[in-house]
Order: sequence, then C-alpha cells, then structure tokens
Amino acid sequence: MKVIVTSAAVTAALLLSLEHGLAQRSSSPRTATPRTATPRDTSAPAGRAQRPRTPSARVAALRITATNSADLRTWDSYVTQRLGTGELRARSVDRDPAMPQRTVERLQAYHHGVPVWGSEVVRDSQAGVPVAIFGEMAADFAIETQPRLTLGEAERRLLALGGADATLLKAVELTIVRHETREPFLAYTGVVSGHGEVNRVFLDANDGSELMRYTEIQTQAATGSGRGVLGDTKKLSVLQQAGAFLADDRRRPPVLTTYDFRADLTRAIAVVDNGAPLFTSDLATDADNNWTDPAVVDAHAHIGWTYDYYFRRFGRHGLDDRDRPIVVLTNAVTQQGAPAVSGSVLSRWVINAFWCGACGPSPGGVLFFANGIPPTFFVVGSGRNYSYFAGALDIVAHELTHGVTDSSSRLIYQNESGALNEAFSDIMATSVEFFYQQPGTGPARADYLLGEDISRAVLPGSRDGDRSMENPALYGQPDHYTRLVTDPADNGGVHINSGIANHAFYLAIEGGSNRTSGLAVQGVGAANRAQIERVFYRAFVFLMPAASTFSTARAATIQAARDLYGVDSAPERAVTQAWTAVGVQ
Amino acid sequence: MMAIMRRAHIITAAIVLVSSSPVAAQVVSAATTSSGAGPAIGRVHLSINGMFQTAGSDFQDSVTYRENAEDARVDSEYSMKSGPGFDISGAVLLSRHLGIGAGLTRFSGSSTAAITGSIPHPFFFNQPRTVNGEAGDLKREELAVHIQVRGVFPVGQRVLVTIFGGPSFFTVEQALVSSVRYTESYPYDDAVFDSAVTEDVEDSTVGVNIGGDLGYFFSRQVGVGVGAQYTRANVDLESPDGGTVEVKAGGFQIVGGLRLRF
Repeated sequence: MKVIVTSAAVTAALLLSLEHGLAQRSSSPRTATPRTATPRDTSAPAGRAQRPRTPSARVAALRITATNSADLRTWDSYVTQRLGTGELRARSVDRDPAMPQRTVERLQAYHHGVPVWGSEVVRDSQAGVPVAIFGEMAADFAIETQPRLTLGEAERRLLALGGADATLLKAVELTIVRHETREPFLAYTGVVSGHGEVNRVFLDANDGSELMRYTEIQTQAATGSGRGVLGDTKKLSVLQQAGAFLADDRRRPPVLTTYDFRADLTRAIAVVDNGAPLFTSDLATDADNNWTDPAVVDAHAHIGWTYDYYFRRFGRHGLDDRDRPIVVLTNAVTQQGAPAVSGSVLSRWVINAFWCGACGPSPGGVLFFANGIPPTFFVVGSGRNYSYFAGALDIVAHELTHGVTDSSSRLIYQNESGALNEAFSDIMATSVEFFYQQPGTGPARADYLLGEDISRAVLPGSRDGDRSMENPALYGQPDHYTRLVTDPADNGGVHINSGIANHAFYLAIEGGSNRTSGLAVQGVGAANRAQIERVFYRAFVFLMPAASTFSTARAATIQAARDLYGVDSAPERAVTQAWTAVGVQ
Repeated sequence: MMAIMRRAHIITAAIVLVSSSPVAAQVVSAATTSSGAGPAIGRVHLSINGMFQTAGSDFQDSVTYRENAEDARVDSEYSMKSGPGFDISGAVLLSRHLGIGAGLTRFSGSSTAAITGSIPHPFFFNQPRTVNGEAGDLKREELAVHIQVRGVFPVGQRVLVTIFGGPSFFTVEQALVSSVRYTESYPYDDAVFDSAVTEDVEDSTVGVNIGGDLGYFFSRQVGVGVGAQYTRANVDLESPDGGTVEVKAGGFQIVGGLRLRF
C-alpha cells in the first residue's frame, strides 16, 4: 500500500464539489428558417407549385402542395394524365391505420421508362376523391436514357469501390438523378457494403465514374450494456451511428452526452476551464455496444438514472426543469497515471467529482467524474482508497443536484447557505440510492452513507464513505446546530456543517434520537420516505432564498410539509421534530 | 407463394404422368375387362372441385429476440379461419369397385394471432413491459397431394358413390409472428402494441386423407358431384427464432364440382 498525497490535498480530495459555479448561460435554440417561395413553374398547372430557390440548379424541382379544392382538381388531373402516359407509376398503395378510409398512393416519376431518383407524388384519396396531393417532381428536361455501360459492368465497378469484402445489398438499378448544380445524369445506383461502411453509390451510366454517394446507415437510439465499477451490468441508452455506438442518450428528453477525454488532461482543462468545444469525436464510444470502460458505463447510466429519479419523483425535467443539456466528462487522468500528477491535479482531476455551471462550452455546465487512484494506493488522512467516482450512484446524483440547485434556489456556496447547498445534494443523492437500490450495507446498497461504494477504508480505523447522515459525527461532521463549525476554511464549512441538515432529513424519515440533544423524533418511516423527499425538494427548489440559513430551511420544509400533506400531518410533525432535535429553530 | 405454385405445377404434371404411365395402362386394361357386367362407369375418373375447408386446429408459438439488450418474448395464439380452396383428383379403376387415384388440394386461408409480448425496458434489466394485440389475416397456404385407394359404387346409370383414403403429402406455408412493433414514450414504463412483424415459413410432411364423394352424371362422361373429405398432417414449422412450432394442416373439407369419366 502506498501513500500518495499530502494532508492538504486530502482535504481537497474529500470535497466532492470543488468547482461549483453559480453562473449559468442560457441556451439559445436555433429556429428553422423556412425556404423562400419562388415563382411558379409556368409549364406546370396553375395550382400551388413552387420551385425552391436553387440559384445554380440546371433542372428545377416542381414542388406540389395541393390541399384545397381548386389545387386538387388541377393536380389530380395532372397526376391522372401522367399515370396514363406512364410518367408516373404506382410505387405503393397504403392505408394509414389511423385513417382507414383513406388511400395513399405513392407514385414514382419516370422519364422515358427510367425512374427519376427521388421524384414522386403522393395522392391521398377518400372514396376515389383526392384529399391532398404532395409532390417533388423534376421539371421538363431532356436526357438520353440508353446507357453505354452494361448492368453487369456497373455491378463490378460498384463492388470494386467497396473493397475486397464488398457486397451489393440491393439490386443495381438504372435511374436518372436530378442534381442541384449540374444537368441531370443517367446513373446506375446500388448499395455497397464494404470498408465497414454501407453507402448508396451512383455511377455514371455511360463512363462508369462515381458521381456521388451517401451513407445508408441512419442514426438511431440503441440500448447497450456494460459492466460498471462494482462489476454490475447495466443498460446504456446510446446512439448508433455509422457502425459505432456513442454515449449519446437519445431516449431521454434532454441531450445527455458522456465524453471521454481518453487521458488527455490538457484537453480536459481546455474544455472545462476555457470552454473549448466538444466534438462528436470526443464522445465515449464502443464498437459492439458491449461497453467495457467502467467510468463511462457508470457515468452515463447513473446520470440517466438520476434524471429519471427527478422526473418520476417530482416530475422535474432535469437540471433546469427545461431539459437543459447534461454534459458528462470522464477519463481526464487514468488510475495508473494518478501517482505521477501534481497535488493540484490530483485533488481536482483524480480524486474528485464536480459540477460546474459556468464551465465548458456553451450553453455551459458540465459534470466531471474522476477515475480515482490505483487499488494499491490510499489517501493520507482518510486512510481510504478512491475508485472511479462515477461508480457511486450517490456521488453522481449529488453532483447533478448541484446543477438543480444552480437552476433553482442558487444557495450561496458559503457558510450556512453553502452547507444547505451541500446538504440538499446529499439528501437527493441518498434518495436516489433508496429509489434504485435495496437497503443494506455493502456495494450498491442503499444506506445513509455518502460515497461508500468507491471510497473504501484501507487503514485500520478508517471508514468506508465520506459522510454519514445517520451519525455525522463519525466523519467529523456536527449533528447539532450547537456544534456548527464557523472556521472560514471550506467556504465556512459547507462540507462539514451539511451534517446538521443531513441528520434532520435522516431523523424525519427513520426517526430516533439526536445524539447531542437526546431529543426523539417520530419519523414517517422508510415506507413513506417519498413524503420527506418531496418536502425537502419543494423547500429547497421552490421556497428557499439564495442566502438561506438553517432556520430558513426549517421554516421552508415545515411549510412544504403543510403544503403537501396538511397541517399537523405526519410529515410536518416529523420534519418539525427533526429540526428541533438537531437544534435548529 | 412462388414455391407453392411451382410445386403445384410439378405435382399436376406428376398426376398426368401417373395417368399416362405403363402402369396406368395396365390398370386401365384390367378395368376394361371387368366393366362389362354393370353400368358403364368408365375406367378413368376425374374430379375438378371448388373446396371449402373448415377452420383448422389452433396452435401457439413463442419467439424470443434481442431487444434493448435483453430477450424480448412474444407469445402468439393462432386461430385458424375457414376458407376456400381448390381440389382436383383422378383415379383409375383396377376392378369394378376398386381403383387407385391421386389428388391435389390447395387451400388458401388465413389465421389471426392473439399476441402477448414482453418487451424489455430500454433503461433497466428485468423490468419488461407487457403488450397485447392481435395480428389478423396471417397467410396460410396448404398444398397437399393425396394418394388414394378408391372404392367405387355405381347407383344406377347416373349416380356414382366413391369412398377413398390414403396417404397425403403436405406442404404448408404459414405467416408466423416474429416480433412486434410498439409505441412508447419516456419514461418507457408502458408500451402499446402497434403491429406484428411476420415471417413466412414453410415445411412439408406426410399425413392422411379419407373421404367420400357423390357424383351425378348427366351423360355418359360428364356430371357434377359433391364430397366430403378429411385430411390431416402435423407439420413442424421452424419458428422465426429457430425453434419448432407444430401446426396441424388440413381439416374437414367440402368439395363440389365437375365429374368426368372415360
């Protein structure tokens, strides 16, 4: 076992929220700009047809939107005539189950017997009477439709483009492609799988040269699985894109992304401190959707769980209740690299987790979870080893809750309000644990310890975890207001005095006696813990001002209990007794 | 469908070949020698019928497939519907009352499936959502070739009673539910059945046929008739997930149509 840091660094390392910014940047969602309408195609019927603005287009598109009776008569006649000449041919006839009385014809445009790529008309009818017609057709053009290249030669050339293992996934077909910047061209097109990609490729049907291609792989939400820090397997909501899986949750309402710095501390500092942009290439990724990096697995999963807890318990939509993006950062320094870093790096990027509302690229706000130190090391002072911080569900929930506070009460991060800020993060962290985990002791069990899943006692006399809500004094925290620490260190003891409010929360649920005052509390019981959670949430998010004191917290939580459960309700009595027991009036 | 059609052509050709083979020539010769004593019932009999097959036996299937990093399970209870078909058969008399024949029936029916699905949650293990729904109009195609020993009993000059039985060779094509589509929204505690995804599977087996027919002839060679027959075979179809689902093919069939004898 090796000693790794000085006692000064230990203090810093134990502060789970060193970078707790207060400023926020508002997001500015982009608004789509509608395309400008352009004059009608004079060769087309006089219905609502528009050529989109494409200044360099050689062949303009004829855009059909007919929903009123006059336009429908005009365009129905147009469609019917072209069905007769073969310029339009039925590609499919469907019924929407939601409107079974309607028939939807999808009609493919042809030019001298060759389909025109992407040109089609959709006619929605009821009992043979058109209700709506939409289309995207090419205006009149001339093109030779007899290819000089044979189909077989086109297939060979397409396969050659895909490499040695290439296969054609669909039959190669002759088509006419309209293009925005050049004359329409006659092409063979096929879907080629090769080089790890799946592309639709277009070849010039006369000389065989490649004219264009695009990927046929479309992104989609996917569910992966991975093994977390504690060895448990959990699901991950990710994005499948171009044959890889990215830690980009597309199933939950907010943008929820987990980035992997891949041990590039310089990049981590640039992003967090200087607002350098994050790119898709920075996202944590996995090739087979069976994720193996425990830091990424637990950070991505636990943040999602915490978001879910807030939604399910309180109906809250994330950080700001408006689904502000949640950006999670991991892997700034590896465990193996930890012994070589400086003390300042150690306390911030190795033995730490933080929320910083003012950090990161616009719109701002990042969560960071460090990887901890090698299993054979321990931290001086605490005598504990720290593993991947994301592996502890309560630590993840604690940090995200700082973001919630930033968007609500904005409790000032010093003295009593700072201690309440910390306490609220601990309270929600423990609540999340009890929401997902079975009560008990040991890894992945719900209890009233903070950080115990990754903060493990090594030296004799040390304890698992960083704080206890049941008995704050075990970790050097006061359990009674008369023991309030007023030392200016730690912003006036924000991580120390939080024990008073933490213990009040514990007593309101579990009941029992305060060890200092000896006063007993009739808790609501574990089965009713949701009541106390809702009381504290309402008070801390909606009622308390930024400079709240413990006394304010007492009054706000009692008021919240009355609001939610009525005067003299069991939750109100429990909360009142709990604050009294910890000496807060 | 193309496979069935192709098979039908092959089987039809086979029947014609049986009718025109040297063996057939011999049995025709035998019938000829014995046909002089009673009514002129001919030596070769043909029946061309429309057919109605009553509802067959229901069956069930369960498939599992990967969904949201877990196994989804879909249980389907299939109910067969009755439906129309086509029947053609021919026979050659070996003696006055005994013949051998071959027939072909094709049944195009459908089935419905009551579906119960267990769809894994996208975020959590062991928290499946249950979806219930129904899939209708699931294709069922049965093609059967019957080899028959026939007993032929003329009643007067115009009525001909026939009973028959023998082995049958079935090919069954059935649409089976392979997965379900559903709608869901955050937090995904519930999923609502949208539609079923089906897969056509096909297999062949041997069964039996037995039945009777009553023909009325307007002339020496042409008549009409009705009949009833029961055909049955158990087919082990490959379920979409690779398992096996036993399906009972055939059933009780009512036929009616043209009767020819030569």
